[in-house]
Amino acid sequence: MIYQFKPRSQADPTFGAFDCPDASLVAPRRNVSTTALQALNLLNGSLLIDQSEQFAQRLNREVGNDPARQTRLAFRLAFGRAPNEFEAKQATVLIKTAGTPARARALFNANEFIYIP
Amino acid sequence: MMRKPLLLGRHLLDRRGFLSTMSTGLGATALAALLAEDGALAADADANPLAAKPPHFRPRAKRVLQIFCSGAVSHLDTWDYKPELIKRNGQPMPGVDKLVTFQGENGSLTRSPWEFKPRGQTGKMISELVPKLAEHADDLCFLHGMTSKTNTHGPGEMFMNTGFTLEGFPSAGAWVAYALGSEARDLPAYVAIPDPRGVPQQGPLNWGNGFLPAVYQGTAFNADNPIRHLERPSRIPLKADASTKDFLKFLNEEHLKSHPGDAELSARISSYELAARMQLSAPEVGDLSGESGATKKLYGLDSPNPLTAAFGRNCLLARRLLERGVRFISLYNGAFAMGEGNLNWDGHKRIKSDYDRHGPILDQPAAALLTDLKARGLLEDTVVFWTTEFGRMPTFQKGTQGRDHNPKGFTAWMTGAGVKRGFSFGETDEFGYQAVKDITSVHEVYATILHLLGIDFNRLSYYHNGADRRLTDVHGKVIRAILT
Repeated sequence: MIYQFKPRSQADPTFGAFDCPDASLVAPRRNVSTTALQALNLLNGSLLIDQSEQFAQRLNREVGNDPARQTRLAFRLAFGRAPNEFEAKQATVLIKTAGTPARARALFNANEFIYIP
Repeated sequence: MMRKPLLLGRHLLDRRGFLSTMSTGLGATALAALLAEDGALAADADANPLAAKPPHFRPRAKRVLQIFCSGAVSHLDTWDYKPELIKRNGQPMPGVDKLVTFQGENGSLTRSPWEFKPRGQTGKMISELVPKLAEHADDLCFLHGMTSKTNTHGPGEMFMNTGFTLEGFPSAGAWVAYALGSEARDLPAYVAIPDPRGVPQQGPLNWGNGFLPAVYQGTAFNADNPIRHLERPSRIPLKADASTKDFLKFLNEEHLKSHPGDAELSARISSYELAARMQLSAPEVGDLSGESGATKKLYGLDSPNPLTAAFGRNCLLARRLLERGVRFISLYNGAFAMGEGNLNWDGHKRIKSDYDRHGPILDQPAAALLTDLKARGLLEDTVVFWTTEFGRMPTFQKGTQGRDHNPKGFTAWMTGAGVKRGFSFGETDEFGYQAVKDITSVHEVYATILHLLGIDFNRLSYYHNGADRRLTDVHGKVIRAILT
């Protein structure tokens, strides 16, 4: 989150679990914590589920329904790199059993997406 | 006293840290690689900020149950018996001329519409509004000299929960979670249980983490509303969910291989494992179906009043969470209700009819919770703290049948581990208007609760914005007179 409109005294329902500083006080430095509630939020919250579905639609729109091409584009957009052979294979297995939004849901929850080490 | 909860790997490996210390960054990266080879950066070291931590000294209590009645419960109609108020019913309060309080001018002194009766061995006078809680009189320790800094609900809630009237400070539950971590492996360390009628005025700020890391914030759920996002979305089938998580785990493990020893990355993998365990354990703790018929009846789950039954389920949930080692519970009775007494204890206009509704919702379930905790031995290492944001006036408001806000004197009570039973500390004046003897406030209460948990309130601090902040700010004193 870079910019957000928010009432000063209201705890944010989405970012509250992610150390979004309370706007009532000055926060010169943001806390970093890692919690199970954040994991649940990203796995099951409607924001990420909606985005996963839209991402799947975008891949389909841009490269058609070929699983391998989709996975390559998905990795490039999410991680900025191509998938290795093993990742590409696993992704294809996943979309066969769980559908294309599932691949996006996993990518968006991945450490590589969340952190830039 | 506490270590900052930043993880070792972060200092060495994060991108911003790397860029901002370019000169040493590469060296640090090389060092991290060497340390990882030696196993010195054990991936799970410090990975769980909620791991149980030792207190400063031997504790009397392991966990805290806070019962918070929203809207400001009148001490004069519950716990603080004032014969003089009965005697002078209908007369102006002496010593104050045209006293203006929160909503305006006050009328005459008005006795409680409920009778007070002596209870238990101690003969403590408690009103008929809370007859079942009154049966516990011999176990309770009353603080009759409580005061607040504000006569307004929102800041009053903040004050009683954080020690500050302003927003942005950590709640007591968050402080305790930060200090002691959790003994409940698959549950949050700090749980807030909102009333069936809704959340209090300040909502989640009441159980907020303020400037403490988010991991210490209260997780809000009650018997009828599960943890947010706990459940898999209905449009995702179970099998698809499972294979998505497998693929995610695979991605994270592959990624970790190229960043050995990064505790933050492993912590995040652990957080998904804890989330998965929580998806199993949280519904289990919330499932009351295995409780005996007698227990359900005790808590009022069979009550014809749906609010009594719903608050009863929340009380039972509180016991089940305490049993499983949750460190701090804030159990709410009453919800946000602006200026009216409909949904909470804010009896401005018709205190008799308002409190006749609210009394029974609180009384039986909360009394059952005390009975049950005692029967199961949980009261021996749990400290219970009942409170509200402030008290109410001994006068009725001019032209109404209710009482205005009064932060100058009110009652809270405690019971459980290390607290004197059947004891009263502090006094208000003959009408119950102002605390006059052994005056206490939220800082003394939390200094005492921390003491019972084995924590020196002076040493529990967190560096924020140039100051080592404390729950009790620059105030506080352990109330030794109420300790066993």
